[in-house]
Amino acid sequence: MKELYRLKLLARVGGCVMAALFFWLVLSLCIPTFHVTEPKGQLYTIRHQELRDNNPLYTDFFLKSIKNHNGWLVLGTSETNPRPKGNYYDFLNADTSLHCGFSMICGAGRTACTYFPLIQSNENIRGLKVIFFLNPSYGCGKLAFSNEDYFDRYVSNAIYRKANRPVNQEVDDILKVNQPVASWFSNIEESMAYGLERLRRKYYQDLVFWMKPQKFYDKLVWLRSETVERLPKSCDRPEKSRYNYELNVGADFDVHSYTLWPHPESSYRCDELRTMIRLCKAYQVDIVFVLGPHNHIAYKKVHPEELPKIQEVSENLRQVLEQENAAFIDCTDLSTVPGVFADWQHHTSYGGYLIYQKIKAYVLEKENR
Amino acid sequence: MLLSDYQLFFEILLFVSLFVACKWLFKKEWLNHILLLAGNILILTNITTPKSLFWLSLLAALVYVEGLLLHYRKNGGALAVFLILLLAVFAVRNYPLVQSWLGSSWENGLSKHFLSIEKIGLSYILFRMIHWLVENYKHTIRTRNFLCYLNYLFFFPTFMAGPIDTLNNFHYWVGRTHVRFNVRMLMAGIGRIFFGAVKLLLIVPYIKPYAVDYQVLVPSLGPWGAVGSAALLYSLYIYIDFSGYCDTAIGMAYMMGIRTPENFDNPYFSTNISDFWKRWHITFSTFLKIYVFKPVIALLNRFPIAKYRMLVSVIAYMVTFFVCGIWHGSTLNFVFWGLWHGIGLSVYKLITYGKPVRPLTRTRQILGIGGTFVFVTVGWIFFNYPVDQLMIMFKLLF
Repeated sequence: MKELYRLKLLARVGGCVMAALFFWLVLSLCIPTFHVTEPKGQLYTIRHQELRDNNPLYTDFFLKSIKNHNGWLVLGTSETNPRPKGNYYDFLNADTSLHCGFSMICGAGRTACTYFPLIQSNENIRGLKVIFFLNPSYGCGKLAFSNEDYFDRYVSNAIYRKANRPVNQEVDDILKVNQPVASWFSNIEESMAYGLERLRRKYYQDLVFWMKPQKFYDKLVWLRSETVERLPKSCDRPEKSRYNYELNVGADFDVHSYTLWPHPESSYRCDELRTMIRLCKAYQVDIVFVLGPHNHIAYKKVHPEELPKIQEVSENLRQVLEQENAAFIDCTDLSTVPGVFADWQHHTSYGGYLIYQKIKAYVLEKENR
Repeated sequence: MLLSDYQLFFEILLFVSLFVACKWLFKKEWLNHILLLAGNILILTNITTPKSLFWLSLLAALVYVEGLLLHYRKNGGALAVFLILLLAVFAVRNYPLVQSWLGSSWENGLSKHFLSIEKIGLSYILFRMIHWLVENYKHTIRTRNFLCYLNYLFFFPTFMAGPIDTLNNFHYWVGRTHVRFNVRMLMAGIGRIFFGAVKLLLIVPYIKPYAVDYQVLVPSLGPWGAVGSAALLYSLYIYIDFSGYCDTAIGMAYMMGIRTPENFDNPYFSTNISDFWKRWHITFSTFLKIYVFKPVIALLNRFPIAKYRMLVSVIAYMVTFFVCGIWHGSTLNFVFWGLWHGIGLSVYKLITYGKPVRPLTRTRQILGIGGTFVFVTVGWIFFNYPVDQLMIMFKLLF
């Protein structure tokens, strides 16, 4: 073993490593890019990493699969995460009267700005039908302001800068406000990381899929009829034993464990929404916003002084939607319905079911138009 | 960590390229130090927090002044006070037991400041600070350059887990400006990092799940088989993981033209436990020998107990390995692990005391290697599992 660590031998190994790296680099030029056929069904969702790196093989295929099948793309934050008894898009998918599928992308803190690169760098976004859930909780606490951690979780900075090409003066001015500030040094680093990732992709993606195309299809999550059949079609109010109707939260949730303090004075979320609307118009995205409810009952009981503020947050979002002439489904009336909330900011499956009914009405009306 | 993060990897790559180029082109020692300091700050802010770095730098400056005082005015009492204060900082930060002794003063104010110092790399910095103080007291330090001292403390490849260099060696390699660009060192560094990467990225992930938790193996191997196999795998895992980390650290240092000392020398081929500690985590065991074992012997020699040589050695071993144990972790199992080795070394000393050293026969060599490996492997069980889990394991076995 000692022999292995002699400087002379180590230097030879180092030389071989460098030669191998060079060979690896040259060989990557010879690997053909993997092309996929037209999607034969609609994808249910896309993996987080593919979206973060904006891997065109997956994002293009995902968007195409929705568009080609006249489906909808549902975008949202943590409230859109799957629920044990179903969320609003599950009920939508289970509803056979709608004749279309609903794919989704969601995650805590996945607000509008994290979708900008997706819109700006994918041609297939044009003409896509999108439902965007607006949760007023994102006007509360730290969430009311620009959040670098969340942004970094969902968007590679290198992708953001690459995607962030000028749209028009109106949009560009607001985009600048939301753009994360990165030093020149980290820009270099991330560009190098992005370059290396693309190089690696040549092997773990193009080469592997070129040899075994089925491997690509195995990685996808389809919205299949047999999956849809298993989805819940409706949801009742939560049982009294499992729900705290006095505070309008789940029985096991402690309202004092944390509080979302509303910040109606922060204009960040409104600016972000305005940018999203204008960006969608510029890229001809057929978007409808769902103005989500807030937990009115809990605020009234626990922090009555904060109630006007959370209402103001919600009202500010509505004003932006109206000013920008954006289509939206108003679900704020669900704020006072008992059984809708699981905690301060997430709706229950029952809440999801009520939201589904409102979206369904909108979709049917749009289809009949 | 140095290999798993893209951003950090590129920062290191960019910095090493810049450092090598400037070292080769300008051949100025002061420039090497300034560049190295900038690189250390840049890279360490990714590994630890800027706040933690600030507090550690402040502590480093204080210790630097203390070292100078000891150099110009040799005073054993002052050295003892400085060392106690330094150890107190480490103990307060690391040990919940010490924190509980402080009571309300910890709760009300101290915790806020101390907890802003990250644990990562702290114990290794402490070692280097002790080295600075003691060697200044002994007048063996060849440089008092503040930048060199700071770089020595915060040298990013060895910041987290060693090897623990000496300031003189570090100063020699950073200050070497008269040599030509050393392609062989650069390539050797790449080769060494390659070995480290193979260990850390290709071998460790496959062993780790089975090595760190015997319960994964219980359904297929039964209790004894699972505990035995997990212990065996843990022996391999801890060596491959740690030596892999050292390979990357030493490799990075090589690339910058700095030869940091080796940390391992085929430890599992040791023929006895004393030999094992000369081959395992060499820089750390050397440190313990110089700064704990020998001072304890010197202290005991002042008392009447000095005439009982064996007893003096046994006490020194037990104290040294008790320190070794609590340095590795704040829970009781680390104390057990330390004492296990302390007892092992004491017994070995008792057996070999006064006997002439003879070359071992082939059979004795094999028996020695096997016996030492089994002893060390049993020790790793104490190292790996907290006391409550050890209890569950013993209940399962007996």
